[in-house]
Amino acid sequence: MSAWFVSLFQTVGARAIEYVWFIGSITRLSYLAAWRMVLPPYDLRAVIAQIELLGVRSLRIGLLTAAAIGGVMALQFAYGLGKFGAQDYVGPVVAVSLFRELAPVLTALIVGGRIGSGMAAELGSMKVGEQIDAIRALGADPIRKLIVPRLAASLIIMPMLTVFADITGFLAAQGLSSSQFNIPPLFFYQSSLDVVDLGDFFTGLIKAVVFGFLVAVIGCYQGFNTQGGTQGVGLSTTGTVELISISVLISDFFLTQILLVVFR
Amino acid sequence: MCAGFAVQFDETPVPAGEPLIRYVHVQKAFGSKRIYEDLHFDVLSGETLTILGGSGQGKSVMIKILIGLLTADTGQILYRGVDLTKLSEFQLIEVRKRISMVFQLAALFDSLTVFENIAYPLREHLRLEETAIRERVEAQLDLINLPRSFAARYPSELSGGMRKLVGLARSIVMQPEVILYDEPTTGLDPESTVRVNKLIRTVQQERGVTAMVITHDMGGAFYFSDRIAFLSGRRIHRIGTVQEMRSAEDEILQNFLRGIPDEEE
Repeated sequence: MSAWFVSLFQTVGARAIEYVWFIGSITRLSYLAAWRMVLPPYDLRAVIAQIELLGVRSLRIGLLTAAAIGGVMALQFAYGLGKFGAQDYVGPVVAVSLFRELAPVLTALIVGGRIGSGMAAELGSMKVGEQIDAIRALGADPIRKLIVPRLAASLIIMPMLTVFADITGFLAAQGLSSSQFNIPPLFFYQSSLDVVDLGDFFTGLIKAVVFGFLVAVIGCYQGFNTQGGTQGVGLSTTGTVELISISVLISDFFLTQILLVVFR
Repeated sequence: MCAGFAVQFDETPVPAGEPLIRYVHVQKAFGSKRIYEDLHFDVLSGETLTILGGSGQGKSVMIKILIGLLTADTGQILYRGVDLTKLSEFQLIEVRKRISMVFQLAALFDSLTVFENIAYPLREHLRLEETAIRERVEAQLDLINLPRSFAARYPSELSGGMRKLVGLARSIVMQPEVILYDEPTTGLDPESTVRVNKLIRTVQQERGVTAMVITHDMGGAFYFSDRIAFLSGRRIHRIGTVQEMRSAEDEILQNFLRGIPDEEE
């Protein structure tokens, strides 16, 4: 019994140390990257290249996700609210849900997962191919060269994609409500505008910035800490998707609590 | 020395044959695996010193701790009298301009062309006109005997031997005082191996650089080395000229040179 207890204690302790180590390492990397991002020199060309690579190529999946969710939300709410004779409120309810929650969170989960795993795979391949060591050996700073452009791009891309998701999701909901439930588009639009305020919009935007930071930092951290060849790259990539999903969902809970107070 | 300030090296030329780099009682372990117990030897100015030893003995670690890619647990590594183990990442930048490394897998940047790979350290450290960069890159291409038309190619379009040569060109473009070669001929065909070995000797003879070479290629080691250090038992087991090492009455060394497995490994 006591041996079993000791073993359990050791396992839990080892996991706890591992977890604290991970949090410490990723916090340190975040600090180093953020510090380098604000200090010159600025490599705008590298940031733009990352925006093109990560953002523009993620637009299609981001918009598709938003359109699908906007449409499904309109269907569900029209059905549900219809039971109470409140179909007129479909627009406001969908808009608030999209702007405050669904657009930033789903963009972070779907697009962010894609972006973060892409970063982990690319940087992980560079790590196992000794390219990151080569950057250091050539007297350059891998954090500035590799992480800063990705972090800056992610901080720009995620809010932008979230705004596009807001618009696309709203238009999809509007179109579906109009075609299936005969809710006039202008009424849908006007009733939503009456309810949605800038606080709702900024709540989503602030969440998107935080998620963008998490996506880049986790993706880059996983890439930089890849070990063990191509198998390691695979593990880093899948681990990144998992970590980003968990981080986004946990941080969303706390952000929602805070932002509800701020934008009440 | 404050970790935040740039490190200053004594610029006085070190006479050939005098110690340029000193490993002083260096110890290193990865977790419970001890790599070195007492690494203690000198690298002389202008020489090509080859490190021989079995797999997993920590040959690559030896050159990686020299330029700060890994850290030593204890001991000192002195370069021009400065202890490199005490330097910060910022201070090591100056070291890495003077001591360059050729990686085992070349470690070329996949997203950059051959030209941009070679030009990378120039753009990083020097403010040169584009024409000056072009001239210096083309001079390196000529040195490694690679047609200038290859400058626009990407690493994925090169053979293994060519990648190694481009890696070497990238390492010498800053005209370093010391070059570290990590298994420069591993995985190459015999023709490419001879080509790389000749280049190691050419660079040493024409530019007078000091070199440390990690290799398993005995023929190459005997061809380009001034001295050979044999790593065994977590320390430098024996060090000497090529002739001294070949004729040494040392069973462990001779077994290694003849390819007879060491029972202790």
